[in-house]
Amino acid sequence: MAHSGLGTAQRTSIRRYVDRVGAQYGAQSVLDGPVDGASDERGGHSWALAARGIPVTVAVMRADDEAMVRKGYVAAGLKPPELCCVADPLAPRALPEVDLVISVDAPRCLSEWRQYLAVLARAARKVLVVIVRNPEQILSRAGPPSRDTRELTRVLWGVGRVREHAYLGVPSWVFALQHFRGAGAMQDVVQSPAGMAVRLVAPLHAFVVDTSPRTPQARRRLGLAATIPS
Amino acid sequence: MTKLPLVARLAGYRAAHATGRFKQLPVNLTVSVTYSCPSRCATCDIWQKKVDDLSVDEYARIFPTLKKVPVWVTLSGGDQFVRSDFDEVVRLVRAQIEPSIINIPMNGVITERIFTLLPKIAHNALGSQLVLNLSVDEIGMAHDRIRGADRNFEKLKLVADLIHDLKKTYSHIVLGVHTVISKLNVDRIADIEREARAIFRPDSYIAEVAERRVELKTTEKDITPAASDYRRAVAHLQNAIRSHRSSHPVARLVESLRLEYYELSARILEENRQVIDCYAGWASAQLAPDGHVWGCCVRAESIGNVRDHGYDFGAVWFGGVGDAFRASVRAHECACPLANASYTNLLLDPQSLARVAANMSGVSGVLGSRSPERE
Repeated sequence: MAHSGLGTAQRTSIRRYVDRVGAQYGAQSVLDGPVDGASDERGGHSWALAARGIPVTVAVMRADDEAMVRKGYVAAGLKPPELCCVADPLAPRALPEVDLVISVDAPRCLSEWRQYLAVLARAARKVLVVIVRNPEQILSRAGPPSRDTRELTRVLWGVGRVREHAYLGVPSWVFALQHFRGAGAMQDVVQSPAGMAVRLVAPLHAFVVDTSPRTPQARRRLGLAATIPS
Repeated sequence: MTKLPLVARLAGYRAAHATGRFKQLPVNLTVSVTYSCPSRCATCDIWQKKVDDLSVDEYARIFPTLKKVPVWVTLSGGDQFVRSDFDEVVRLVRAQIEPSIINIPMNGVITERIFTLLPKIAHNALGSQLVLNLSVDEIGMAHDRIRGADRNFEKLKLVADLIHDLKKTYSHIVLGVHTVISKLNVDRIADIEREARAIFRPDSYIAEVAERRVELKTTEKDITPAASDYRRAVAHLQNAIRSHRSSHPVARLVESLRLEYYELSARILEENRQVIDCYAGWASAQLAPDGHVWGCCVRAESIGNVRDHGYDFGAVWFGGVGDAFRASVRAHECACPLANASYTNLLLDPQSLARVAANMSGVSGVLGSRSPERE
């Protein structure tokens, strides 16, 4: 698996974003997915949620990682999360069902990323947050699958309803420029459709997939999508 | 295959119209995929027609014979979402015709099917601009009564929400709202337009007059508003456009074309004649669900069936039967304000084009506007 780290600003941006989505959807339980392309702080994406007292489960693929996760939580002044070791992230029912599931940069790490996202969507009772590197960024470090946003969105729309598409970790100087030109407030998250400047400099973009089906038919469809990804 | 530039193709249609020779395949194609429809609109009885709809496999044989000429493809019905394979039809249109615009009018009735198919359609249409036009003929329950469909207006709101979500990940989607102006709503167009804009937040709002069309089985229906009433309605729509002009060049072009169309349609109703030449049968065409090819849906006169010609659209289009229809249209034996054909006709009329250009650039007064503000 090709892991690579994120900067402090990017990690902070992810935490804030995930926390906001969790609050918006009333998430009472969280799963930080086992495949993580930014694994220098395993389980760290849900720190803000854990700080609000929301039960967090961190799934890891190797027992060795469990200690790293615990250590990170303790260092952040948080109660260690529930840990779950899954050897095969694609195995049916390997992951616990929770309200909110987080996936960071998984397509770059896993050739069967379509099936993986479908499994995550099935584990998410309310919402799945998928964060990947922004392929439009100048000198982007997005690997080949992440470069294909069209394919990613096709898969995400197949497992739920994409409610939000946002650019994360936008550098403050972009907002300083926009603020100077009279544009809105300064923040590091910009909703799509975003201007060219944001798309060229934002290191990450995120998708919020509503996985709570509207109708019995939609529930059946979601079940099928999770078992037979195409 | 390299596409002929649109300007050259338009010149070709003018030459063909003038001489009866040098015919080309149509640049504006409507593909009606079914007559079936769950709505029972006061302005349309198309649902009564029962035919053997073309299958996806048949479309896969027809579309390549259009040689990627159509720039604007409208996928209409009936209710297209009655077909569970509608997303496949869209995929074929995009892959085999490669139009710049795919336009899908939607009644929003079969919501579950729409929620299943629309994300797939959005993906399958990538590369073209996908215009999703919601049919909104009134506000609230008054809409449901005109459309003969329970809770239709509420369902339309759900579909509009879905489209707004799709727009976040698919930038090629345009959400439109479309109103058919009939005797039933002509006096309320100003309110309908204002409220529809507020409720559905569309990228564009368009209106078209309810007509007596063979396709819709409405030739005996008294639905077309009086010319004076329609004139008042379009005057409002024209003023609404003028008072909210966009600064974006493409949006301004669309607005200018719309201003010209509203004026043209009002004049056609008032004068009951072709105000500008009609190119139905030359530049625009319709493929019916059962394979018949028409020059237009108002007359719905078949010039042949692709099923009888090895699924070769060109063989039907260039065959001799269509010439009688074209001669009749050229002789101004019919007149109608059909929006789809009218937009093509405007592009082919130099004076109209000049007015559109002047309007776009903000110097319409120099050429003299044909559209007095009568509101």
